[in-house]
Amino acid sequence: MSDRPMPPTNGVVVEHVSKRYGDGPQAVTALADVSLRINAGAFVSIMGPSGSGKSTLLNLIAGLDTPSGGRVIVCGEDLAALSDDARSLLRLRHIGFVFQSFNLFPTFTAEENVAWPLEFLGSSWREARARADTVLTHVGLNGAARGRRPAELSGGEQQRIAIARALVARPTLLLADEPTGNLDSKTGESILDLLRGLNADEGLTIVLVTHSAAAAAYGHRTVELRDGCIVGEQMEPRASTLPAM
Amino acid sequence: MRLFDFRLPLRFLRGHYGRLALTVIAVACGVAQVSGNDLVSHAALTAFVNVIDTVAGRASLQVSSGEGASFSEEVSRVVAAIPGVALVVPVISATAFTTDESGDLLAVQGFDVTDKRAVEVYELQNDEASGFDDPKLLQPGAIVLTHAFADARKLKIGDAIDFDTPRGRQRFTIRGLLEPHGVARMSQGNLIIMDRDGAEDAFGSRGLINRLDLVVDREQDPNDVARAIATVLPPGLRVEAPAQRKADLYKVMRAFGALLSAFDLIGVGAAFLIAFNGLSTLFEARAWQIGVLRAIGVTPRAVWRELLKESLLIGVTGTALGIPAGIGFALIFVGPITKAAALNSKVATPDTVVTLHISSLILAAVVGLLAASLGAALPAWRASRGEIVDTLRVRGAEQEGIGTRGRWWFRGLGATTTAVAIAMEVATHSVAWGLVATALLVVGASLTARPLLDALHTPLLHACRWLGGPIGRFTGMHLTRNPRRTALTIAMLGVGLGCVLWLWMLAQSFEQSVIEVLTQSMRSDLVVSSSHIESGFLEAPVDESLLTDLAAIPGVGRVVGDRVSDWHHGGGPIAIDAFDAVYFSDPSFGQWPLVGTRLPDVWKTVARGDAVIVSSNFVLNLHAQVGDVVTLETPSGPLAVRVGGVITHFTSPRGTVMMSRELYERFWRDPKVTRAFLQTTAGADIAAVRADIGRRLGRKYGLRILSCPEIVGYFASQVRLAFAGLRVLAGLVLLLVMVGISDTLAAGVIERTREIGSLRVVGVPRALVQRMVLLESCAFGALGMVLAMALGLALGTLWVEATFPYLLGWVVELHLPYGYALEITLATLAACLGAAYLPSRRAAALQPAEALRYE
Repeated sequence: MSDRPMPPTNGVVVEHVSKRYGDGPQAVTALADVSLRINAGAFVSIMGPSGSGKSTLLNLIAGLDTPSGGRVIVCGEDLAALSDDARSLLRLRHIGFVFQSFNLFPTFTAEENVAWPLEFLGSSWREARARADTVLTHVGLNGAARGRRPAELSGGEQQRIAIARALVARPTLLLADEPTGNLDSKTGESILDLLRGLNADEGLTIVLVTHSAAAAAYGHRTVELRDGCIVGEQMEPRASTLPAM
Repeated sequence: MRLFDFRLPLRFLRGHYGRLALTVIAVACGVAQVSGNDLVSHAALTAFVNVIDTVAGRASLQVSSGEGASFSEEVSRVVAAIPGVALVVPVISATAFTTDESGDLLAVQGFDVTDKRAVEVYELQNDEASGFDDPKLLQPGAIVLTHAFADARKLKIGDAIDFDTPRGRQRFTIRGLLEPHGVARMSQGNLIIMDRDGAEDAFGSRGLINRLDLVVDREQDPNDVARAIATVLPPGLRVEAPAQRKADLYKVMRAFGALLSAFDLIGVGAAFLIAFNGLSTLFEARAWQIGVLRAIGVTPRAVWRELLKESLLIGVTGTALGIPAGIGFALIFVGPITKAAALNSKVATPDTVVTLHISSLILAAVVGLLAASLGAALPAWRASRGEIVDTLRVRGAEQEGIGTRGRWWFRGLGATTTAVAIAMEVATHSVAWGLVATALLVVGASLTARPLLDALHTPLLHACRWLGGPIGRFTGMHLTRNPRRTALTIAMLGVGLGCVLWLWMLAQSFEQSVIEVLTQSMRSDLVVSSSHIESGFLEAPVDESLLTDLAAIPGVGRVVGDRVSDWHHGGGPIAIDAFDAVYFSDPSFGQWPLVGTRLPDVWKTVARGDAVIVSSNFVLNLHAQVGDVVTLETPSGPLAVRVGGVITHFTSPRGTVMMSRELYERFWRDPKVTRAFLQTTAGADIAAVRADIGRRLGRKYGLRILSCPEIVGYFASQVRLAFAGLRVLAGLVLLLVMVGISDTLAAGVIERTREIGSLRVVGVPRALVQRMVLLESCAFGALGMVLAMALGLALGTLWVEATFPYLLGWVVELHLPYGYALEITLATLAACLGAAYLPSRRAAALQPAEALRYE
């Protein structure tokens, strides 16, 4: 991808997307003709039971997987038209990804786990570390924890680091795949509060995948998936009125 | 990310130091082997060349007739008349041995010490007190020794000293001491300088010399002068430059260098396999991390580059450790390898000094870095190219490699190129093709590991069930769940142990061939020879008066003399083995087993001097056949004689001619014998006769008296000496194999932590979990040994039948080392159990609840 100015829109457009795994009678359809538009600055929750295709949809939006049919436009770019390297650069610059299982590098300290993507964007280590410190402060991780490795931290702290890593390159789109799935309810709430704050304060577009209605309610809009199809969509009330998860 | 920024790879390597240690050790071993062998080659070659340089002094040409055979002093006058010859120094060259326990060999140089120009040729400096003008130097028995030799024995001028000579023990008087200059530096100062007349009396015959050292005018081309000299020399004499002898030595050392290169190939191959296996396992275990890198937006190329940087760090560490280890290796093995080269060329073993050669170190560093980088390239490529979603979802699963069709295509290509390389070696007798074929067979064995696993999968599962009960099923499942890693481990085992078996087969074939031939050819009651070894493994010659002295001893029946000497034929060295005629007609002394066709009544024809027998390597190297007429240049003129038969002989790597000693003595005018074979009279006590010979003649001739089995044992021990490093090599390979298996098992245990937790939760006891890992290790060992046997057999056959004869000249029969194969199988089993100990303990010690939570 060329080093050009920001694309005209940082939203997401999913048009008639389908995804099948395998061939012939053994084929499994994960997504069937899904269309969705997510505007810039939106906080959208994608909800559904296990196997409904929500993680597949998120992977397609992130360009981690390719659709069997239809197209995905992210930040104004049709992902199918981009090379693998261009998709990588799009993710590095404009998309942050938060995993359910954190996926932090066990041999890196918290600070290193956050800073390393910047090194691939050409920042010096000093600059990367300074930015990582800022982001870690922003996500609420205190100083002592920053020099520790993931195994020495709690689940909540690990997920904060994972969010910090996703934010460190100042993305415009944050994709979160069950970010509270491995956390207790209280910690989960604090993480969701953090995401909501990022959306509200910084205008970050967030797509949250969850199977929990309570978590989904943190978004402005919930898209419900079942068996690979969108079966419902609703606008959420403000989070201050939400029940506890 | 900057190209030379190693922060990220270092962070990734942080938590894996233990696991990476094996890969680093493997690379270090490969580097050590390459640098060590190269340093040894340099040191040995330098030592041999120094000997030639110091012996020759400033002489630019030498005239001689092979191994010390004498010729008339008159030749010097003829040679001196050739234009361009500035100086001719007639020399008596001989050897003497100290009579103390050390039995040290001293080179004797006898020349006209009153000729100042001759003294200058050898750059000799007598000490100030006497100088070479001392008339006492011309007295019979007067010698000049080096300060080094005299000081070590607290000898001074005027002292008498005994030496064993071909004429028996003689007493000499020290008349001068040499400073360590010129020829006096040779062999740590083991040198005797004598006036030529005295040397002729003590070591030869009056008027006969055995070498001319020539100085050529500076403005003349030594080659032109040599050609002119060759035209006037009597038959049997030849002129050569020390440079030619150096070239011959370079040839021998090149052959040894090629042998060492073969070891290098194996070492680097094994290092590569271990690095490949280690890095594949590491990268696969970390595939999810690579998936995270990709998911965050790092391009596959950048991921690949970062992974290669990791391997580069491993390569640098391995090289940094391997180079000092290589220097250590060179210091330890320079002696045995030089000894083996000296045994092969039948020359005295020179003193060697290992000096650092930057080229050796650079070569080793390049090899180490390449092995690590290439070992990482494919796993890194696989890891960086995998589907992001898959790598994130599935942890610990083997990544997809090339397809089945691609694998078989690759194997087919390997088999074809191997066959072509072997065919080319047989057709061209080129050792280079032999090395290519060796490398391809090693690669082929590595590629066979996977089909071997596939083929033996079912019987392996049954065996695991049978040996391990229900837990055996899990062992079998794991072996086939990660087939690439299992195959790589089997390949590592197969290549390492296969190469040990190959070398052992070579050693066994050589040793057994020597034993088989000598037990048939040496059947006398006793074998008497000098107790001193003159060159390589050959005993020093003694005067043939020994035969009559032996015959006069009560209880001694018939005596047969045997003279073994070096000669030249067809542009290179050969050996002459001459037995008294009675040996050929009386089978009770033994008879050499003939190979292939022979002339009728061959032994009688040889006894009469009408035919000779040649060795199989003579046939191979000099292309003579039974019935052909071979013309040997002798001191008495050309000797044209028919080839009556072919035997296997181990005196010269280029070829040996066996003839009657009567014929030899007539043409070579050499009245010495190397050995005397004797039969005792009926009823005589052999031990008593042996003791009597020792009492009566032992001191006079400096004798060694052995039975035939003992002398056969002596020669077998010389062969074993040449292959002495094999057990060290086998030990090193077993150690590497142990670490390699241990690493693979440890990786498997870590990967299956949750699975083991589940087993424990269900109620499987710790002992069974431990047994599961032990069984897995034994399965690796069993499959590895199958591959090792096949590779060892293939390489052994290739080397015994083709590469070894073309490389060093020896032709030997193929012998399989059954006993050793059993020994190494048991050692491998023990190594496998040892390797499994820690991983199995770790598996058994896992707490079920923790194991289930393991990510």
